[in-house]
Amino acid sequence: MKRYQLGEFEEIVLLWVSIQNEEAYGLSITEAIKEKMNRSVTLSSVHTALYRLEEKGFVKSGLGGASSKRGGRRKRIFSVTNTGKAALMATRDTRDKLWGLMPDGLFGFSS
Amino acid sequence: MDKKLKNTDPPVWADRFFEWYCNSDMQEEILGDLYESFIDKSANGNLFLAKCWYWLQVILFINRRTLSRNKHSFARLNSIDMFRNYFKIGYRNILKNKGTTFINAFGMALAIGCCLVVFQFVDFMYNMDSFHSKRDEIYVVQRTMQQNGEQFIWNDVPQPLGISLINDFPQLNKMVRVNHNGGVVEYKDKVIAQRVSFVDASGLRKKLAAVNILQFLSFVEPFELPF
Repeated sequence: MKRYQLGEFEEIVLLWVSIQNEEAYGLSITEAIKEKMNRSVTLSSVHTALYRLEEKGFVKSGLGGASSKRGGRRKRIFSVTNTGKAALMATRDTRDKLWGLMPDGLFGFSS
Repeated sequence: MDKKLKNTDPPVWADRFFEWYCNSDMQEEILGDLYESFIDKSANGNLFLAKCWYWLQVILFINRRTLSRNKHSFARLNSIDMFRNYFKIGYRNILKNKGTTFINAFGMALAIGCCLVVFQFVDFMYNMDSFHSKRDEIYVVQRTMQQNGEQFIWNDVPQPLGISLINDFPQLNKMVRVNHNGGVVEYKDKVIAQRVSFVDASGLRKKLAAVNILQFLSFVEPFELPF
């Protein structure tokens, strides 16, 4: 259980990597978080989160696709590994379990 | 071409500063991302604001990870890769010209083998009987014979020849005769067949007596003539 612990921001970044399946890189995730989630994030924090996720083994990366849009530099594409998927599902299970234990009426649920 | 893009390039000094402080592995992708967003921002709005934003981002990217110097990235020397490349190319050349390679390799192996044999032969010839300390002053008298039109060389000469040689020629210093005919030896009750050689008295470290006496001596190799 300890190996699947994810910080909140890392969890969001990991979710976006999974959503953008095989097209995720630093800038795309930053843009997605800024637009879709209305959070202000810097490029460097997203990059840091991605590198930490890679060190933990939740994502793997590879270089590829130099283009003139980037001044001829390649981009590093991140994709989620099975460990990452397991981590996300474990987190989701924990949340669901806890929500299931919530007393009725606290949040206006029926059960 | 340079003049055209000059307006829309990110600030050069920011790039240089980044390349200076940042770890080499991550430079390319981070700079690429920054470039892309810079192009977006400068196209949509103020160029000066975009440049300020760019500088801000470069500053914000300073952290422990980008500052760490990667000590292990070039630890493995290039020479291993070069060796591997040489072997690969050599192997491919061999497969390309099998006939030539075979002739080369076989010829060289053959030549080296012949050299080894010749060296052994020469070494044997030169060092035969080398335990004699004054071997360049010792000579062996040989006998040449004609038989059926062919010449033969025998190593044996008649026994009196030695005596007459040393008596007649003042240039000769010493003489010794060796006789290799061993046979049956009897000592008290024991009878054995033994290889025996006979040597002149002068071969026994005694003063030369020009007398036709052959002493009995058991031949133990190597036997150095005492002069």
